[in-house]
Amino acid sequence: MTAFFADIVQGIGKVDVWFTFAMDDMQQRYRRSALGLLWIMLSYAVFVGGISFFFGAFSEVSPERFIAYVAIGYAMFAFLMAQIQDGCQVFVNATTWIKSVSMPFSIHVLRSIFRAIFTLALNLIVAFSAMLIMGWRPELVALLCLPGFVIYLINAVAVQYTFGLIAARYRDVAHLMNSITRIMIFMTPVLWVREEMTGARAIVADLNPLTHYIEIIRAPLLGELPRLSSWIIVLAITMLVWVIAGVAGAHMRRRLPYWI
Amino acid sequence: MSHVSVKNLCVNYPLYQRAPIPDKAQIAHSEDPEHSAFNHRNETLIRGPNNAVIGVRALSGVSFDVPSGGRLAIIGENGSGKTTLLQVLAGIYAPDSGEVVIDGQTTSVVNINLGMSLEASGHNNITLRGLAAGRSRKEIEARRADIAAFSELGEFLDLPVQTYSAGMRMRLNFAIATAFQPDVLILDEWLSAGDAAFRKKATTRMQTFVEQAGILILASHSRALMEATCDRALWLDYGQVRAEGKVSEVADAYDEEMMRRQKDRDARARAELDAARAHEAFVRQAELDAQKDDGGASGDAPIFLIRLWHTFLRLAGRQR
Repeated sequence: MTAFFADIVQGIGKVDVWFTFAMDDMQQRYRRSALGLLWIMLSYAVFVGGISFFFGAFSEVSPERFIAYVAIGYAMFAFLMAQIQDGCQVFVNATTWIKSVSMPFSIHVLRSIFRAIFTLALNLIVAFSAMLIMGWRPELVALLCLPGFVIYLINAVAVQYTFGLIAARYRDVAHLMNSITRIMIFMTPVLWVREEMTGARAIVADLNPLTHYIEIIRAPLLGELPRLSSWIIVLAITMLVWVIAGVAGAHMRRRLPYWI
Repeated sequence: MSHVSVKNLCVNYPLYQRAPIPDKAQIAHSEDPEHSAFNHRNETLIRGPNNAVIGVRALSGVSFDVPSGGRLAIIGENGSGKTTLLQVLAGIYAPDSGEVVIDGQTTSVVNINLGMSLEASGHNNITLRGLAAGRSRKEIEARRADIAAFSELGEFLDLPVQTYSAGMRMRLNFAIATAFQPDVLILDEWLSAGDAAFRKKATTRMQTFVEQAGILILASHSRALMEATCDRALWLDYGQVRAEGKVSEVADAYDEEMMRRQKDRDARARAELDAARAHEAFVRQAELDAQKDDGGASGDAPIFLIRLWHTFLRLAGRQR
């Protein structure tokens, strides 16, 4: 367990390494396309526009507010899902480095998280641009999203590390997670508004941890105080996630190079 | 002062659902004393409760010391544990038991296809590898010209590594690994794959390296390379240390043993080939007999079935 936490601390210290690796990843992904990174923003703009046009009609919220609701909510949802999906690949994709250079495994986790932050930032640029055009102005309560984002990052390290280890050992996990994330978009209040739902749908939304994770960032940005219960649930899950990561790290970390 | 010390090192290489469960005939076959040539190798397999192979005892009870300035050659057959040992020394595989103590900064090039980002340019890979090895950007920039010169890749360094030939990758890999003057340099046998000019250059560079009291650990099948660069040799046999001593002495003993084993194996291979031929003749006879019995067109079905059955047996791995 100590070795696992030492691995994370050492990895975080090597900022230059994971930053360079992440930048290299980004460059490669879009190197041969003419629009490059603009594709991320373009596709997000199209997505938010389309969703607001079709789903906005089902909601009683005003169109401007619905666009803001979707634009922020979906960016956060995509970031959270990326932690699980990228997490499943984080060590498998780094095989060449893990098998040739001895460095903290957390370097690969941080590199992957940084990539996701980069995408999130581009998505948020689109989101805020659209919202500003529609007349949205941040209020003081919006600052509450900052501790929320810190919590996201703390979760991301543990989630990616854990899923990375498990998916390296059991390759089915990545496929399972892919099928689960596909259904999550419908079970999470991102394209629909939680407060407008009653009965079973409301219960599903409240039982879904993602609802609360998104709430603590989206609510402040929309000028509302996030529900206290959401913060409590998020903090409790964060602790749970780290306990699981600690156990998985202690038991599985040493064997990782053999699995990939 | 750098120093490498290995005490009673054991490494089991786990296999996950890659090995088939053997049937009784196969187990009996492998235990047959007639097949003693492969028995040693089979003993390194770790079997689970249902006799399926679940791992390989890659290294057991390996101990040795390399003092500062020591140059150790590692000799052994294919599959004797050389690469696994190098990977443990490089800190990639954790030992199952035993102790590995390395004083000094280590650089290893165990596999030329690893440790490179294939889509990134040669120059980017110099940066990535340098950073991964714990070097600062300043150090990397200071060594870049030297790496470029040694690798002789010229403008290819601006192209993705994907476009390189195996030899070019090897040059770049070796140039990066040796450029930062590590205290301990670990190299696998791929080095002998280079052309003569590069081998000479690499040998000179390794000699300069060890003159600076660095430690070199080199796995190789090339006796000339080992004698030119190393002062001691370690012979790994089925994951255990068979001998350690002067390069020429260990290499002589190794060559002699390999010659003897090869004779055994040739004899065994010949016997297996004969058995297979006899079996084939038997099948052909059975087919002919079936044809005679039935005669004409209707005879095609049994022949077809027999062929199908034997193909199936062979595919199922039940028959040799």
